[in-house]
Amino acid sequence: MSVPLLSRLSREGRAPAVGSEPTLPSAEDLRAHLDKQVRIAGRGFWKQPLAVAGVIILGLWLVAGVFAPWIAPYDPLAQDAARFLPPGGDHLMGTDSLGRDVLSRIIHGVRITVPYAVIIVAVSTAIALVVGSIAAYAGGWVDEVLMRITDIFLALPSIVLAMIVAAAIGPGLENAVIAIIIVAWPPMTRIVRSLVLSIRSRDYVTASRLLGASSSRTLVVDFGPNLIGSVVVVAMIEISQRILLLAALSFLGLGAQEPTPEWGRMVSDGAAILDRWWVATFPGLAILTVVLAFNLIGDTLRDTVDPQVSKQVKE
Amino acid sequence: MGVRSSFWLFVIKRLGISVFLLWGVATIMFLAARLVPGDVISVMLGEEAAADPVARQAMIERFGLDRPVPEQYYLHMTNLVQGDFGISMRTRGPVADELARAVPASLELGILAGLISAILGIFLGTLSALQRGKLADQLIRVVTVTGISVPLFWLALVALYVFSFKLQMFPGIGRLSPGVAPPPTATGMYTIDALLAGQLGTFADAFMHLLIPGAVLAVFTMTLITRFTRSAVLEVLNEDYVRTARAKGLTSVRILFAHVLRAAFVPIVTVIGIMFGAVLAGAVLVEEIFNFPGIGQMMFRSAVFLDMPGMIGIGLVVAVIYVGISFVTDILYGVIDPRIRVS
Repeated sequence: MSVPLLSRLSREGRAPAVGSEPTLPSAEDLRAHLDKQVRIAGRGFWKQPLAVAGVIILGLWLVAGVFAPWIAPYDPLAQDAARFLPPGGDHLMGTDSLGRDVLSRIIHGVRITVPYAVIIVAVSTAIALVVGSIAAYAGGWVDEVLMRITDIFLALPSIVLAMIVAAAIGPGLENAVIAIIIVAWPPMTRIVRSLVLSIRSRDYVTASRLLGASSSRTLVVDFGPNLIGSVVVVAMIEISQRILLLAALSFLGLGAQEPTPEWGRMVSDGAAILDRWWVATFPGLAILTVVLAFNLIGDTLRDTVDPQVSKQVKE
Repeated sequence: MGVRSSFWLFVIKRLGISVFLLWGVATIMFLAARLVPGDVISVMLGEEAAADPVARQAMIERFGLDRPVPEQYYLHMTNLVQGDFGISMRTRGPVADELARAVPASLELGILAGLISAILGIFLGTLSALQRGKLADQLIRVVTVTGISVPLFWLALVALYVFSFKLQMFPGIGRLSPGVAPPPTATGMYTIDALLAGQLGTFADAFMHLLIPGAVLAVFTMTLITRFTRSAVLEVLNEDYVRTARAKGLTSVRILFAHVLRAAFVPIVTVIGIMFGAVLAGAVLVEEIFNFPGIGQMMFRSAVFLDMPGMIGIGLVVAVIYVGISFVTDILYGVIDPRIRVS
């Protein structure tokens, strides 16, 4: 049977010497083995209290976002109440400088933060998948040129570059999203490139090729699912950092503009009036909890589902 | 002989890479400045000054805006190489002059933030690794996950409100309390200058002004160092020589310092480069809140004013610092671990 090889495959990432095994496992055996590993990892995920907490927090925010018009007690743009009402009574989180209900603005804010962060990560990941795979497969000077370009983008803190690009194309939520995509694709590309390189050298890909699988079959059956799985894990971690960057650009006045109920923007509204602490504190807590939820999920996924990724990400 | 020359070859190669990166950043900046929609001169000068034909003409000549793009690019690059980062439209003064005052202030703050995060991070990371899976490890994990999730600009506001405004434990904003004269300039870092001049009162005041912003800036980097130290220590704990040392009956404290931390130190050094980058990035958001006149505040204000020349000048200086630090850590790493030079 193929058990010795399989157990070794999972323990060490090295190919067995050719001819040392009397029988190679079939591709089906390998898949079954992998599926089992993923299931075990999946069970591990739900046993982590922090990960479950992350899922619950994120779930609550998503529900709040989807049903915002029904959940929010007031219109987020309505300037009906008195200015700077402290929390309590009719306004649980108080009102801001224009008499708008802070809680309602926060609830509507999820509809901006989460979708835009998802767009940022989806687009930058798509770019990274194309560029990173080209670099990994082409190798040679193509790889060299592409990697040097990503190096240049990484020679500045992402917030500084994003600020310059956002200021150049003009402040605004959509432009801030574009600016963040411009700074987000290079690190992602490097991760995708090293993932492709490492998956390509993994045993089951080699094994399936040795078994005579066509290269398109290798790509679809062995390569695709594993690359996508790892990339999803990285993307979860990316989302949290991109939410922070988007909020930071809005805080700086380069992102969302009045009267958009964007959380970073709301914190900056409260920055100049510290004694009216509720104006800045609650939107900041909203950012913290959403980012925390993504980080808790992403971290646990990385540790349980794909330990390979954690190595790549750290590098 | 051979070893020596290979080392210098390594240094020259790394230097070449650094120069290439800075050229690349300067080029991106040039392209970003051309992205500005509408009339570049109005954006650069502000609507008001752009109406003045003399100022317009000066601007056109300075940046060669009437000439073809390749020539503008050449001008942009030669100005930079000569240390001319342009005129800030916010202060109407040269960007380089303001930077000369801002860099020591940020350096002072950055060093303190670095120290706080390194000390706490190495301690928490080691503790976490030694207590792997136990309560302390879990608690530290909660702390680090929260640390990378918290928006620093918000944390700065909360810290300022709680510690300076409510509890009045720390002085408020700025580098010194009102009425305290800055020490005579030697390095531009108030704490060091005050010590050099023997003004202990000024030193204490300047230090107290650094503590809260320094601690806020340290939060993100502390989590990085904690995580990194944890995995570095865990890796070393599994090495044979550590097991041997334990089998020999050495005390765990001795094993920790003589073997584990010594080996884990090398990878930790590499994080320092990343750490300073993160501190710089955080400074952009945090310094303004504490009205601390460093590079971060300059960048913040330039952004608020949409001052492109200012932002580009600061961005380049930040890139020089960033690339310079990674150059130095690479070289240090090459000194510690000669195998690196080959790859």
